[in-house]
Amino acid sequence: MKYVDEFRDPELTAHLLHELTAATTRPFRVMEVCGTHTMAIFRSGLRGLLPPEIELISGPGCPVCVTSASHIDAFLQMAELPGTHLAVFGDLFRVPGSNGTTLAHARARGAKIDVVYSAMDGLELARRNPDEQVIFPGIGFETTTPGIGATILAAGQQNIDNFMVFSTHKTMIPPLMALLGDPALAIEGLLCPGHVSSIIGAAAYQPLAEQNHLACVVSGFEPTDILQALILMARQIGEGRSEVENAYTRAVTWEGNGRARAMVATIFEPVDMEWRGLGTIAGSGLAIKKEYGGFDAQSRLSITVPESKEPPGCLCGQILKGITAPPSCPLFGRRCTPSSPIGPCMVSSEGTCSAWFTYGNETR
Amino acid sequence: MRSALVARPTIACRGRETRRDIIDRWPKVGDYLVIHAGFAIHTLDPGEAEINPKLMREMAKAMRD
Repeated sequence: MKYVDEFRDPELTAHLLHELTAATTRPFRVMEVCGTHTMAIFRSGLRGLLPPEIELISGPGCPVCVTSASHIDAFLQMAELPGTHLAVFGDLFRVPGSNGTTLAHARARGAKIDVVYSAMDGLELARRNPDEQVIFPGIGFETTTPGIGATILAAGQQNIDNFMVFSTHKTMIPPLMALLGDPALAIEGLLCPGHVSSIIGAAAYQPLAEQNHLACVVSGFEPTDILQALILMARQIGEGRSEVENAYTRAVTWEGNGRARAMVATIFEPVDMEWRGLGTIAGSGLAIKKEYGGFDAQSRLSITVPESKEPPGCLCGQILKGITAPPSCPLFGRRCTPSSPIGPCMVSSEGTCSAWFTYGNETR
Repeated sequence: MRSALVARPTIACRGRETRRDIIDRWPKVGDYLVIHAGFAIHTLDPGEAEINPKLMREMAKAMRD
C-alpha cells in the first residue's frame, strides 16, 4: 500500500539502523510514551536490532491501561442499571475492575453492552433506541477526546437526550511532567506519541525539553519512522542538546490541530484525574462542562466512583511508570496472559505486558 | 457524501463514513487523511505526504555514498 510499504522497506531499514549505530555515541534511556509505539517496536522486531546502548522504557500512553480500576467499577455500575445500554471501545471490554469483574462478564450476566468503532456509533444506537439510556465510557487522550466532544455537540444539535458520556479523558503532558521530573528514572529521550501530537502539536513538548532536559522527537509508527526519530534523538544526546524535533511531518505540525482543541475547550474543562498506577494527577483529566451536563452520565445518573483496589500481585502500576519490566511481575505469563488477563497492561493490544508476552522472543 | 461533515475515504476505512468535525484543514479529492476512531484529524496533500519518505531516502542515500 502506498505510503505504508515505503516505511517498511528492509533496505532502507538496514541503512537507517547503520546510521543509528553511528549516531549513538554513549548509552541512553528512551521512554516511548505511546502504546502504539510499544507494540510497533515489538512487532517489527526493532527492539532486538537497536544498538545495545539504547534502552527503551514503555510509558503511560496506553489509554486502556491507565484507566483506573475505580472507573471500570463505575462503568460496571452503569451497565447494571435498568434501562441502560453501554457503547464501548473494544479494548475496554475485558479490563478488570477492582474485584476482577469486566464489562464482558457484565454482558454475560445480561447487561446491554455493544462494542463500537466510534462514539458516533453510540449516538446512532441512542437514536435507534429512544427508550434506553445509551452511555459511552469516554477513555483516551488528546486524539480521542475531540471526537467525543463532537459527538456530544451532535447529540445536542439532533436533540438526542438519551445519549451520555462518562468522561475519564486524560491529557498527556501533566503525567509526563510528573514522571520525567523523577531523576531516578534517568530518561534522556522521549519518543513523543504521533497522533496525540497531531492534536497538541510538536510545540507542546517544549516545556519538557527545556525543564527536564529531554531530547523530544515526535515519531510515526512504522519501523523507518521510529528509526529516523531515534537517529535524531541519538544526535541530540550525543551533542548535549535537548530540543523538540518532528520526525512525523506527514501527520504532525508544530502548532497541531487548533480546531480539535477548540472542540475540547467547548465541551470539557480540566479536572484532577486518577490514573491507574500513577495515582491522581492535578489537572490531567477532562470533565464535561456544566452547560453540557445533560450529556454527563456521572452527574445525571449520580454514579459514585469507588476507591480503586488493584489485583493482588499485579505490577501494572510500576510498569506504567517505567520502573519495572513485565517479566519481573510474578503474574506475567503464568496467571496473567492475553487470553486470561489480570492487569490492564495485558488486556490492551497496546499494553506493555501484552507486547512482551506476544513478541518476547524478539527482545534482548 | 451525506453531509458536509461526513466523508467516505476510498481506502483504509473499508467504506466507513468518516466525520470531518475536527479536521485541521478541509480536504479535497486526492488528499490523504489521518483518521482516528471515525474522525479525520489531519489532512495532507500528496506533496506533504511525500516529505517523510523523501527525507528517509536521502538519509539512506547519504549512507550509501
